[in-house]
Amino acid sequence: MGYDILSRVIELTDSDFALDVKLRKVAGLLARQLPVDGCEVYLWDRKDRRFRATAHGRGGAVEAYGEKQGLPGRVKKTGRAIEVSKKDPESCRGGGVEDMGLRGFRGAMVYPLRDGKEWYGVLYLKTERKSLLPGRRKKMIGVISKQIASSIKSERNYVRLRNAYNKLKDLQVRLVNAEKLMALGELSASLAHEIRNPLVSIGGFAARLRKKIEPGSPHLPYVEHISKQVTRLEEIINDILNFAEHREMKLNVAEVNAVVEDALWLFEEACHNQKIKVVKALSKEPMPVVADAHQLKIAFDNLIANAIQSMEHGGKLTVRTRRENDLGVVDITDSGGGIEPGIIGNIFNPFFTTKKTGTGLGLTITHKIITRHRGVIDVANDYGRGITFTVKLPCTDARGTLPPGGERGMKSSIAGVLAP
Amino acid sequence: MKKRVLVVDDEEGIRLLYKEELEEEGCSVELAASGEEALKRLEASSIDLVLLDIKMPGMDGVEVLRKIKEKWKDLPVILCTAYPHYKQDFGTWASDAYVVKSSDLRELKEKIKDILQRKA
Ligand SMILES: Nc1ncnc2c1ncn2[C@@H]1O[C@H](COP(=O)(O)OP(=O)(O)OP(=O)(O)O)[C@@H](O)[C@H]1O
Ligand SMILES: [Mg+2]
Repeated sequence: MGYDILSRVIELTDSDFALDVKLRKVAGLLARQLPVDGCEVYLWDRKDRRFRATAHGRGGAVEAYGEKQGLPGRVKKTGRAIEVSKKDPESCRGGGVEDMGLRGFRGAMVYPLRDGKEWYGVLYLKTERKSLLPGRRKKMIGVISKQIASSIKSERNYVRLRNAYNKLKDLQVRLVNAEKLMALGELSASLAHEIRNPLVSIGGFAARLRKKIEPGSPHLPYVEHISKQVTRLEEIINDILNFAEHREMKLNVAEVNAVVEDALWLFEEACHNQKIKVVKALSKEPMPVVADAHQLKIAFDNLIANAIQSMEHGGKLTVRTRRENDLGVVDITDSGGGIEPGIIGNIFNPFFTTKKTGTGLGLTITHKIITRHRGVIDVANDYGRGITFTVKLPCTDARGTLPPGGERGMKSSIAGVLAP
Repeated sequence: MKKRVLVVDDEEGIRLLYKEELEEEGCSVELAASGEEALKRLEASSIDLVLLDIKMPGMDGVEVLRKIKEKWKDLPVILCTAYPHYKQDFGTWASDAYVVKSSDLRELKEKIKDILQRKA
């Protein structure tokens, strides 16, 4: 019968249940199967330095014991199991120790849950009867305690391992992203050379042909098509290069409010057509930044474009600017449902897109531009409702000197997760 | 008198294109397919302006530029390249202008006109 309990405890501790579920089941099992009237498991909380009631089979339990309180405190001090019995069940004192948990019981046995020096907690058994358990049973409970301790240990190790694994995985994802970006830089550099030169020839000679063709000739449109397509390809190459290479920034003092307004203006019609209500709350305080206004506008264009694209069937676009000490802050909020949490870590990656016609470079470019201006982007994703992209840029004094150490340790983040 | 322009580029298509276009603008154009050839040409005849490609097999444009400026300090050189970011590289500062290659030759022609006028 004793071994029966032991084997069932082992079965439970080896199961796939979460740790607290396991402990509750074990406590319940012991309370039912042993001649005891209460069984509790207290786990040692290293941070708070307290024993906390985690599981109990039958009856209530004292919620927590301090490091030196009650029987658990005594067990922690001596490192060994303790057994008390008393005459008056209403007293709280047994074995020279005061313990509120003893009220209403006649005797108790408390076993340490530990592995060498590592403390996990105590197993607390109580009885209303005069006699405690026979020696054979006690030994078995000692074994059970060890089994519980080792199952807590492996659970803790597992959690540690899983955290380490997650960290590694996260790091790997970021490394891969960095690599992708670098590869993109190299790719675009060779792209520039391999494609731009032939394009110069094709486009250049097309232009020469065009001059030779008589006006009104049916062949004119052919040549014009060639020219137009070449121009288009050249623009694509410029786009990719502009973002991949550190294009020289044309720095001037720019007013963030004006740049934002400019960007918004571009989308007025699209918003109107898509029945998107635009709420503009621009700061009255000036927000001068040292910036390449053209690039900065591209950054906001991309954010606004994404917001609008997320609200195909209408919604609300809120653009708010405010001064926060020496930061100019821009919030762009949409009601487009946000981003599935599982993929939000990817949105700044080059070529990541969920759109049929997207290139997936919008946010990559935006991130790069903002970082180049010593700013950061934060993303607050309210999945199901919408998303807020927050851009923070260091403001300058009127003379247009770049504020020193603009980053000030700021980091872009995706709702608490660091962006690449 | 016609201004003499030396076009240095390893791609035949681009040499031909520049030659025809610049001749139409009233220049007389000489061609070189490599840096070495360009330097030889410069020794042999008097040139008013050099259009220099940066990325060429053998001696690259930046090196050619240095050699030109050592010997012919006042000879204007326009660097042409497919990479906009070369602009910041050391070495290119010595050129008189810098043009990112494009099938639209207007920018290039304007720079040429500017420089030749300044020189005159
Ligand atoms: N405001 C937003 N609401 C919902 N999803 C968004 C929003 N902004 C970005 N995303 C998600 O992030 C992805 C990447 O955005 P990004 O701007 O980089 O590329 P894209 O919009 O797909 O293509 P591109 O901007 O190059 O045309 C989008 O495909 C979309 O899934
Ligand atoms: Mg986009």
